[in-house]
Amino acid sequence: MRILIIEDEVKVANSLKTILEAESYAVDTCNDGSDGLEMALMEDYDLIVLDLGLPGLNGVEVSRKIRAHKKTVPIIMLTARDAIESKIVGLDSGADDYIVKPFETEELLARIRALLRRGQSSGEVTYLVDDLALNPSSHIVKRGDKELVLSAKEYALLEFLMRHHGQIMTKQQIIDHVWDIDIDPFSNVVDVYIGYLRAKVDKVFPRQSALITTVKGLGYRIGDK
Amino acid sequence: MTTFQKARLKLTAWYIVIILILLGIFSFAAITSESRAFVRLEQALNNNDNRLHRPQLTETLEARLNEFDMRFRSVLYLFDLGLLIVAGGASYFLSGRTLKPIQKMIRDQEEFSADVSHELRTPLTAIRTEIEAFTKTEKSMPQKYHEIFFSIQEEVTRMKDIVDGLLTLVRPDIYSKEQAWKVFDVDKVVSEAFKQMEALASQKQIDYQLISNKELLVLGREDQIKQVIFILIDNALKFTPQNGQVLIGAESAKDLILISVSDSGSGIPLDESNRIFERFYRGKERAISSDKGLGLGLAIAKKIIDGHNGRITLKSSSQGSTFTIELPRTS
Repeated sequence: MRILIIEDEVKVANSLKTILEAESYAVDTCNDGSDGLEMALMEDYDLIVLDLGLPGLNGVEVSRKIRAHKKTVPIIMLTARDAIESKIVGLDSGADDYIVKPFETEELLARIRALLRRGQSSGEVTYLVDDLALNPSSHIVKRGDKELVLSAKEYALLEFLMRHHGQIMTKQQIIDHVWDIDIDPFSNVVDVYIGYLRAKVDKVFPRQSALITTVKGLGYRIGDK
Repeated sequence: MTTFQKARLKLTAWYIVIILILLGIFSFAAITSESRAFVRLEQALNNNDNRLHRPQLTETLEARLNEFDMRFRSVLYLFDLGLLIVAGGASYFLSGRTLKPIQKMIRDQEEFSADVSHELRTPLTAIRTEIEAFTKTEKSMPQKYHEIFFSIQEEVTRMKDIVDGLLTLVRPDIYSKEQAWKVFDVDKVVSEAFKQMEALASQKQIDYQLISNKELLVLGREDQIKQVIFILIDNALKFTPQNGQVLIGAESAKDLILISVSDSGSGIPLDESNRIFERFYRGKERAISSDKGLGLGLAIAKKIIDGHNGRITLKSSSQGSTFTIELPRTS
């Protein structure tokens, strides 16, 4: 899952990036409203954390403009103002949720998970493919009864594939949602990580059928052969 | 009625009192000088050499004088009354003019405090998230550091509570009463608050009871009244020793709804009980007690209850304290 943080307080933005990366999200940050808007429109983010009081273009305007471009990406607004009217203004501008500073990190993480779940048609809390189960809130991945130990990137890649299980995901889509903006688009990092995942998810269980498949010339898919 | 209106009426009343005194003196002086003029006239008549026409003259003069006296007094009283009305109106206008800048200044001050409180939230967020980011990613951290960071986070939370409390105290209500005020049942609010504090009470094994009547309707903001009840119950539980007693009651009395919270704590001395609703005031006993109150709770409670045209009072003895809230009842 790839998240954009638009927050002018550099310290807050960077710590949030660290926290979210520890939760295996791919995170880009931006400290200015108009740059943030540009990034939000250019890239395909799964969620945007947007500060209300930004220099240049403020959060409400950024949110309005994102919605004006028919982007449905979930937006969580961060703000120091908790008066009812500023909440209303924030939500009416197109934000999906609202959290008042200083917030509990766990609360923000739970809200992010809830919003990411909303994009899902079933709204399921645990993803299941065959006997492979992934829980996004605890980050526990199990195949059968055995718990798999994955690195943050491996986890993020697997979560992305499982959210879209049965669908072919192109390399570009995977890069867009699992890696942040600093990645070299011509690297073969996706193939490398698919290799790691295969080793942990499929090769360890030779008796079960392999779940991750390569669709030649298109991309990768998990489940539903 | 707002504080501004109250102050304005008070000032108007003072102006009117002053005008009344001035009018009284003026009228008294006028009447005295009139009667003095009569006396002088009579003396003049007595001294007159022409005593032949005197009886006739006196008679007509007396009739005229009486007539004049009547007219003079009625005109005087009418004038007094007119002046009083005009001056009353003028006083109302003048007191408004005098108090407006003061009101504006207070508003500005409140806005400033609100702004400061808001500004404080950003650095607090930075402290909290930076520590959070560090502890989340740093795997091999000595236990001692964990404790220090935890303690800092606690202080951040405390500061956040102060900021939130300050905002409740200084924020001018943006919403008009029509928008945010609704009729609600105090019984429901008290019961909810009661339940939510139950765990705390059982921790200290406090005899914790609620006696509430049904259908206690009040017009106002449900969330704010609930906050007040929370504050009172929280205080009561804090200052009641183990195995003590905390009683919460809600009932109606004529056109009032009464909510009371009593505890069996050591009570609040009389000299403190007047100051207890002040911001940041903490009783002497509290300073010794280990848990850190902010000294804002009762100030917030008072502000909210005042805003609902109600009253909050304290009765205290060495056997314990009772806080009572009176709110106007709605049907």
